[in-house]
Amino acid sequence: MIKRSRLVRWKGWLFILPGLLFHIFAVTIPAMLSLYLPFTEWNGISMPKFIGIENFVEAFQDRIVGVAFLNNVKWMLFWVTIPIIFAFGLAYLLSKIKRGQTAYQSIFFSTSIITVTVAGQIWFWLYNPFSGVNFYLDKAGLGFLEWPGLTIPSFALVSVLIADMWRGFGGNVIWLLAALTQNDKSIEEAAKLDGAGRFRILWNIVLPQIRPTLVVVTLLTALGAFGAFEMVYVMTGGGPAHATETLSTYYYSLSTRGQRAGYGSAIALFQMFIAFILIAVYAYLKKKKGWDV
Amino acid sequence: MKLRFNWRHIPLLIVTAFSLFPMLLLLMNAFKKKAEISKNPLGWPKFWTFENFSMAWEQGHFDVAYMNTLIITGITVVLVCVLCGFAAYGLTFMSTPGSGLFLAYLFITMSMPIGFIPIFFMEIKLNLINTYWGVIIPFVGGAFAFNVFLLRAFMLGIPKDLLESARVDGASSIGTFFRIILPLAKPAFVVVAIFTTLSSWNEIFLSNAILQTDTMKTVSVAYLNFTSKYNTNWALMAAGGVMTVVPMVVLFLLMTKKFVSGMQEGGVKF
Amino acid sequence: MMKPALRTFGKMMTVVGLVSMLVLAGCSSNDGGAASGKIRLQVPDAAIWGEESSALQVMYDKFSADHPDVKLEQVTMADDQAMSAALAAGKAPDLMLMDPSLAKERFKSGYVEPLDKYYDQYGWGHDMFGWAKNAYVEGGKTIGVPWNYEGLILVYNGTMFKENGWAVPKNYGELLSLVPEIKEKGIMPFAWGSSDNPGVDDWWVTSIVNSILGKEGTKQLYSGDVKWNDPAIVDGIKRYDEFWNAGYVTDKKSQAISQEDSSQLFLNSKAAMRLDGTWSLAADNEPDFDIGFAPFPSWKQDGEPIIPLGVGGGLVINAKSEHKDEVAELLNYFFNPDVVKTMAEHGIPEPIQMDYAQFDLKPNVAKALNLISEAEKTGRTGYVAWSYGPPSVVQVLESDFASVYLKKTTPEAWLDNLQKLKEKDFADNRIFGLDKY
Repeated sequence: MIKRSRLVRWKGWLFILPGLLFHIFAVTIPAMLSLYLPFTEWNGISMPKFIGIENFVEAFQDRIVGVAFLNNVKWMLFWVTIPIIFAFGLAYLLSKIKRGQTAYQSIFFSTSIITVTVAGQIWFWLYNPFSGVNFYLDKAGLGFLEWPGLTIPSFALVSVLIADMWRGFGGNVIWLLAALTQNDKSIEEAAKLDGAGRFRILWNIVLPQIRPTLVVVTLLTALGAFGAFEMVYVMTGGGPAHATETLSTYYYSLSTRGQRAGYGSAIALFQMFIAFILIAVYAYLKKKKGWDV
Repeated sequence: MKLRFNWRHIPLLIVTAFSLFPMLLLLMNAFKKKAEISKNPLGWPKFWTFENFSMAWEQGHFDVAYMNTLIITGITVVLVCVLCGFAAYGLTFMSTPGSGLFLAYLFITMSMPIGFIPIFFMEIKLNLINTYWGVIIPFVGGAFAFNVFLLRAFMLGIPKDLLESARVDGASSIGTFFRIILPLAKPAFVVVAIFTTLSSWNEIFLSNAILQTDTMKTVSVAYLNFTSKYNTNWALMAAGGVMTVVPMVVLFLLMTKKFVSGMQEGGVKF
Repeated sequence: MMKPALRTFGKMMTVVGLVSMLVLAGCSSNDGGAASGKIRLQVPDAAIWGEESSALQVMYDKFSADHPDVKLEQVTMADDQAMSAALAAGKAPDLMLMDPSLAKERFKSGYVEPLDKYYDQYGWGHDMFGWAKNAYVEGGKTIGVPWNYEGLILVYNGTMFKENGWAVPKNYGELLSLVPEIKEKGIMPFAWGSSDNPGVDDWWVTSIVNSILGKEGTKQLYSGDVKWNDPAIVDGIKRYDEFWNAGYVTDKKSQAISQEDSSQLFLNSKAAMRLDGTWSLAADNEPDFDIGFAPFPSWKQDGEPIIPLGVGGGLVINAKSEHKDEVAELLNYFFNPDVVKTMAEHGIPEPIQMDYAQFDLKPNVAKALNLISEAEKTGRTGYVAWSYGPPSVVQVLESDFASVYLKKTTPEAWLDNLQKLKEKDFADNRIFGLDKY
């Protein structure tokens, strides 16, 4: 084979460059600004004024930042566990039926095509304590099943999460099912003949085979849940009394209503901690465990 | 032969109801009068009314909004597919120097918190407010990293020999991309197209800030304006919501098979 | 070996270039229609507040009929941040709707045009209420046209009150003896909802401070010596905290439903009363009972009720506008009888001397307007916080009152913080000098 010249090897960049230009404009420069703005006092009108680390000093004393940070962590932990287990359960059930696989999958995925504002509105109707689901449960004498929805602050975040999960679990079902159908069925059959229990098969045979997909799906879900913004903003705006405040909603309201874009940017930076954890997990899985991601 | 009912359908059907009921609710509420929604948000309409739709159509300027959304979504999808495809191709098949570093850079930017305010400010300086480019550029740029990863992962599975033989035949790099890579990686491109369509159709926060005049608004932004601070007309919101969602639902129904199989083939290799 | 590389690059650029041109063509064809030498004015979207802002459309239509040479282009600003950024870039609309406090800050930054010249030219100030105009006076200059006036009142289910022989409460003592009776009947005393907009909780605080401090005291609270953590205020806020937690306000669920939901609870006779603004009385509700209006009960044990008044917003001219005279001409149509009538019909009358009897208003609106003018005659009016309070304080009032009644903080700590914010606003010179009027 002819050894290609240096120039030709650099040619690859010609393919990368056009997209990269968009990326630089929409991501890199704003990201750099996001790293600078936290050190400024900025009301959104005049030019940002450099003030050092004052914003961070204030942020560490701000009770709401703590609440929001914890909510972001909870949001992330929820998304990488319950919806994924839920989706895996559904995919596993689907892999065992013969008819209607596609129909089920498209129905599960169909909720993802709903605009978030519309979805939030619908769930708002469902949660209404005076005319929503609870009202009908009460009427039917099933009051003990009532879900407090948004009425009790400590349940509000989970209630928003349920709405968000309704909107977003379908894609994972499809991906996990695709992985399951590619599994080698003969191993499973053999284990069954050996008298292995259902859960042992699931744990020792099925799960290891779809591990790469599972890791990717979890990682993608985590990335998608990273902001914890849209559904929260639409349904509660961070209320009641900051019970559902996340770093993004707090950033948003500080920068818009509060006109403190500098301080808001400092708070947005707290999300980086969570990002670092993600990157660390990714790097660990890739390097130490040799999982191909 | 006896047809046995598989018990697994029971939990699946319950989840189906969980998925569909809220959407049915939206549809029903769109046909109710304003006052009825609050009294009876979960039941069938007592009187069916269609005027919500005509009012929402008029107030939201939906004719213009559909056109705007179509233009923005269309261009975004084409640009994302082409540009991300090129980049993934360059990274996978051309042994480009520095590609490892470049991938790391993309990954890091994917987890950076970026509010809309810096972008908004830049666009004002560059005179991009109230233009299609004002939203298309951030959409394409924002989708770049993720889709490059997705396409690259898929392309890694394409044997290099195929390309070598094409090169021997004298095809240019561009030619190989369109003639060989594109058809082979079609499932992955379908996934990219689907997600880009969905996200640019449904994006509200940036679009709402940048597209300010009525002639430039997208459907989702027009819908957003049905909620004002002190005045919420839920009948209009329901009707507007249905109209916002219907095109995506129709598209989805028309290509259910492609959707699902594309996601299966294209996504799993990531 | 260099050639193919360049060729590839060239082809790629052609593709990208072609697509770009296509789009640019699409964009410019969009602008093409209006380039026929007309003057173009960018004005606020008339649908921004639904029916409440529909008078703007009347104003635009009237103006356009008389001035075919001027084209009006309606613009929606996503929020105040978008407006700020647009102002900074010199891209803001020619005419803008703006709250008094924001208008003043932007006037100081040179973004808002003083209107004294036009006030003289068109005689706008002649019939205007002084206290309303004052909301838009800064540094001796008038910088805007106040849009409306509005007041906070008690709305109650008249039929229900009559059937049960309940008297309309005038103060906290009477209120507190009435509400358990209402609750016993399985009816919520007050319907309230703040989930879609926590800002409405500000109405309660406004009602509390006005009735406890009185007109003069409230002025001092907003811009003078009275402190937010004054024991009287702490007492009042604690009262509301207890009142809410006793379940008298939407059964302790007001934070989970929207304003619209709560007004439906009232209209469906599930709740007996509402704290409401005069602006919402024009909505096309058809309850099967008589709606009653009264000044909201005083939060003092045996006090007298007061109606807090304020300006909901105002129209200002962009200092960077190239067509200020034309905008002023447009603004003059705000006083066109048809516009005045539309505003009044929607329960948000313009703050000018006007005989509303000639307009044949809806009974509800007429009743509410009478209530306000009576209160004015006897001096029993106050000031709403959102028009006159210190900006940083208002921001907390409009976002975080729930923390008090949901017990995330104590009334004392919450009010201490408000006082700190007020002092900060003093230091930053952001206070509106209400005490000077």
